[in-house]
Amino acid sequence: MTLLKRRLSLYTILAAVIVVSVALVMFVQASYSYVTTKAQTLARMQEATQASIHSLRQNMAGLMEAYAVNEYDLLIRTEMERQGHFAIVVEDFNMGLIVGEPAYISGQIRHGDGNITAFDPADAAHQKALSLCLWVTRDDIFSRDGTRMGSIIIYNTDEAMRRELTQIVLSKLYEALALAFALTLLIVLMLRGVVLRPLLGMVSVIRRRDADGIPLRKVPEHLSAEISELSISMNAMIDAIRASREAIYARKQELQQSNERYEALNRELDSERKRFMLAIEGSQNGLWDWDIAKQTIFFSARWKEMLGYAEEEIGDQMREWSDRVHPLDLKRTMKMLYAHLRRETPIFEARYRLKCKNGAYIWVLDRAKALFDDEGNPIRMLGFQSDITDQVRHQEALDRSAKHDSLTGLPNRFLFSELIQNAMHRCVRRGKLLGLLYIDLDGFKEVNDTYGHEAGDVMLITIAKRLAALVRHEDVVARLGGDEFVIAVADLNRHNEVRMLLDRLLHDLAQPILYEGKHHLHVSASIGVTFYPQSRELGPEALLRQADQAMYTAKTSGKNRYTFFNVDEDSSIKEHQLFCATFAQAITQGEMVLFYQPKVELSTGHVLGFEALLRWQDPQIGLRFPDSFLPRLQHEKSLMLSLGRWVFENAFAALERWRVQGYRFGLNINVSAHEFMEPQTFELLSSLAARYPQLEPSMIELEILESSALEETLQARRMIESCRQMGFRVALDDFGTGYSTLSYLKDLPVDTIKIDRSFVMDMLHDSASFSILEAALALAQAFRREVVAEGVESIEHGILLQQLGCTMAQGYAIAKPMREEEVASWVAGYVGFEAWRDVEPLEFRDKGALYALIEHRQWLKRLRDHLEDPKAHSAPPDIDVLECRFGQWLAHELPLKHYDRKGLESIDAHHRALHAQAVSVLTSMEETTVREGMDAIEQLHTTLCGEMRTLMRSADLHRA
Amino acid sequence: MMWWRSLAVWLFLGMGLLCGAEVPAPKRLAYLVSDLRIPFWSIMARGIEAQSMHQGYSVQVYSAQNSSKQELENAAAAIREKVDGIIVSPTNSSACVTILKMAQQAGIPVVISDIGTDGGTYLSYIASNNRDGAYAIGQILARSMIERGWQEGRVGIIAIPQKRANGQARTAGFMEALRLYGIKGADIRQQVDFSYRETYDFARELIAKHPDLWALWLQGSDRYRGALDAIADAGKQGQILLVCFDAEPEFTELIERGTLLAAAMQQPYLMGEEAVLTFVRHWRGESVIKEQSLSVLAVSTDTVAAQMGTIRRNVLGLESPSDKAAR
Repeated sequence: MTLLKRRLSLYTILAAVIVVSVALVMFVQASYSYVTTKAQTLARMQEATQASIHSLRQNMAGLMEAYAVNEYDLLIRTEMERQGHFAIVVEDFNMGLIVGEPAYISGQIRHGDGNITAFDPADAAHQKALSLCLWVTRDDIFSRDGTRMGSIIIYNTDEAMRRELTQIVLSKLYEALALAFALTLLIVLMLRGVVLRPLLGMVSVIRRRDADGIPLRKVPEHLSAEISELSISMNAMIDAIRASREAIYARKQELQQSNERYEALNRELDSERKRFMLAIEGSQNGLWDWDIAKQTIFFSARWKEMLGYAEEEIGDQMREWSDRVHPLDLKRTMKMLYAHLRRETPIFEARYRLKCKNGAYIWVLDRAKALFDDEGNPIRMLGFQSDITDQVRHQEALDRSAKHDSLTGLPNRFLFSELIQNAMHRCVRRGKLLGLLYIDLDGFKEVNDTYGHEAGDVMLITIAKRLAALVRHEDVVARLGGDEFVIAVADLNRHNEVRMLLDRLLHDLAQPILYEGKHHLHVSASIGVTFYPQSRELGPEALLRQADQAMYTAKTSGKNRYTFFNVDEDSSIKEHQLFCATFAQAITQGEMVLFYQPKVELSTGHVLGFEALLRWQDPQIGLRFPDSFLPRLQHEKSLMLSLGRWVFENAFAALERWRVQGYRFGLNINVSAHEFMEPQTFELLSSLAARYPQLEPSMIELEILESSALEETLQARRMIESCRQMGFRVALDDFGTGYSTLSYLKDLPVDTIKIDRSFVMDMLHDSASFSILEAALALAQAFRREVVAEGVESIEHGILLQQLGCTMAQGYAIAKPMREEEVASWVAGYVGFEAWRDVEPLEFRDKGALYALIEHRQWLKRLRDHLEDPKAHSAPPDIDVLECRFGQWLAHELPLKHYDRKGLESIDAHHRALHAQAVSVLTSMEETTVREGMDAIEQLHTTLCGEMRTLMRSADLHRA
Repeated sequence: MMWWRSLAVWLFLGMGLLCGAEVPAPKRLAYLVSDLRIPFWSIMARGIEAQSMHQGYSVQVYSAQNSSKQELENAAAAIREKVDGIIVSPTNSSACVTILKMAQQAGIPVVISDIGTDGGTYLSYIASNNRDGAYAIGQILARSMIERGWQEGRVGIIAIPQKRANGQARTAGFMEALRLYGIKGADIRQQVDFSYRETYDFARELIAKHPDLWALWLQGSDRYRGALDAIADAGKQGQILLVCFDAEPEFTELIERGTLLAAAMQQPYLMGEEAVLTFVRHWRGESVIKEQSLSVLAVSTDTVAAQMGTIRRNVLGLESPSDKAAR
């Protein structure tokens, strides 16, 4: 403020500038005027003098002649007044003669005050004044006859000029002053109005500031562009400052909130850390932390414990880990580790074996992530290690059970199809022959009927061992089911090479089998043989059919023999060709029908969409399911593509009709392996998307069979990505039936996994199915895929699926497949099931309870089976209450405090009562007692199941 | 006794010397007149001479014969003579200025008698009261016309140049008198060369142009005959009245006869006398009136007889023996 007060006001500065400017301009102008005026005045005076001389000389001659002295005096005076001369003196020679002088001198002279008086030649002052004149002009006056009568002398001083110049200077000065004053006043007024007032207005606005020094109001705008520009700029600046301040405030608030959040997070983090530590401890995961720079590694106590070591037994060097990795896994694991350290993979995830203290290996899943410095060098790596030995074993068992015959341990039909396919490819590649031997035991049924199923089983096991013993390593033996076996003999050079083996088979299989040490069981074998390759391309199924047909020929020809399949007389080919023609006609004649099975959200009953399911309205047979015709068309690519086109077009049309009706359903369409690998399919999808622009592609989900996808993973991945790029969703169908592994699922970017109905249907009473289901769901969750369960056939299924974390399902419990015209009414009427509402996923610990319950159901089923058919199910379940899995679980949980003790005790009581009832039923021979006992058992079972659900729910609520 | 005689002689001589030093030299005047051939000026010269003589002054009269050069030569001569005073009746008021200037340079006081000057320094200016004289003559004419029942008639004027101050005064006084009586003026002609022919022609024009012209006023006197002849030639004798300014010796008779209705007569003799008396008062140290105005005699048929004495002396310069005796 002091500085401002010391500064001059803008008014003062402006006034000074204007005055100085005007003064300068006027000075220059005055100087110029002075010089020019002086020159002009001098010139004018000279002109005037000459004019006066000329005029007087003309006019005075006559007057002189007439002695009109006064007249020419008046003339002179008039001339002086007119021209401003200082003095005009006349020498009149005529008058001189009269007065006795050379000349009579008269004239007019100008006084200092400007008045003109008569010139007195005797007046010294007049003479002096004349002597001071600037210049004197003289001329003579002549009479008409040329006589010189006198002279005119004109005196001019610079007085007038000085006066005039002084007047000019003064007038310029006054003009300058007046102009300066007027300009100053005018400019100041204008500036005040145009510039200063707006500026002062701005200053006034800017002076009124808030606590942060930001003006409270906006600067007013003004008419002039510059001021307005300034105002706009200032306002923009104020706005920007205000916005900046608000941003700062907001940022400050955010920071405060962030601080609060940070503190809260810190608290939460601390809590989380504690929980995390507890979780780590609880999860039984081992933790390791590798300081790459120092080349030291920290192993948690659990990590060491996992390998059976005490805390102090494992040091902090890398070799403590690497030395313990299984030699077969080391190279692969290290490769993955370095790939991650080179930042080629986002995380390090490896399954490998680690050697325990006792020398045994355990399977571990190691998940780790490295930290990198600014230059991209790894500096630290942190990982969790979990013991997945059980899971691997379980998976191996699962794989084995899925692909092997549980009785004989031989590959089952599924695995055989896979293996023979490989063998077929291999033989073609090597130019060899593949022999397929279809073996059916003669007399097996009799053995079974005579000695029971166990004898049959023993026989089958023995036969399997003999078969395995007869073939080479590269050959494949499989049990197709019942008493049917098949052998794929690879790398044959000639057809006859197989005869030796056939003979040995007939011989060895006909050897008796000792059962229970006292019975000799006799069977023989009828064997059908066919070879691959043949003149036409055919698949494993067709090959099997040929061998089967040949086996049938052998059997009808007297058994205990083998028959080669005669390709030339193959009636099945003709039959197949006929079938294909019929089917092609069926497509064109509109015999194909799409049925729709709904897919719902279990907890809400919300209808998510439908799966289109193919049916053949065969005029001869009736409504046919795909199982009855699709397998026969598996190798008919063109037919399958035609069928696929029909399905796509009709499914899209149905979805469009639903859209028009206001429904927003998703629609799942099954895609065959042929279609999926065929580029035409994508062209078809593209054209259909263009044909129905109102349909969002994301409403359509293409279902591919797991087995189809797995045949060519890379190709399948590309196709799936192409579909997804077009906007369509992709689902992996019948998940679990194929050879599913983590890596396969990880490589296939599908949106949804549909769990095969077989696992779902059996999950309630089959712990293996339940395990498979649980594993499948875990995999799906791990890879963040949506999961839909197929085959939901009861309320219990829905509840259990939700408890396992599966929220979407389809199945007969919800609705059977229906025709398109039935969809609307079904949707209108479907409200879901009350029992499915508010079912929460179970915690890890509760799954133990769930397993126990399933085991209990399985126990009950075995009891029922045994009571219904004691021959078929000779062994009843364990009736000891402590031997059954449920009893063991109860015994384990009762001392713990995870569940409500009273609830557990009640369940325990009911469980014991149920077993007691089972004992009485099994020991009683009275049919009524059995029936009543079973009723009581069923009743107790229902109560027990209800109590279990209550127990788990209350535990959930308690933990929540 | 001888001592007393010698003392008496010396006292006598001394007184005689003293007395001889107080006797002033006689004043010498010069009268510069434009033209003595004109009666008016010669009458005035007589008045100057008579009064100078009466005062014991000598006076030298210089007539310029109406020539400017002669007038200046006369003035130069008088100045060279170092006269004590100059009375000037200049050829014109402009020429008077040069005379006054020359006299002033020589330190000689000047009294201007009639005509006047356009400038310069002078002691006093004596002139007739032209306005009053014209007013008086106008009254006489108006009354006469009314008496004759001619009040509807108009009056024509043949004037001296109106550039002159005396001409303007005469017109103004005359017209004022006519307005007083409701008599309308008809027209005015200004004399240029003051010739008979000019006066006659002007009179004829006025008579011819204005049928209701019942009177003519001639502002001069010397060419009155031209006007009378014009009236006579126009056949208007007795029908048009004639009044004049100034006087001629025969005017008294013409007025008495009625040829002239009336005349406004200046008094030149009196003016000459007054010029000399002005110097007398000046030299006595008395105050002098700068502008002196002398009355003009309005003489009509009715008054001519009564004014005859004044007319003869002051107007015509015919001083009677009684006047001389009185002086």
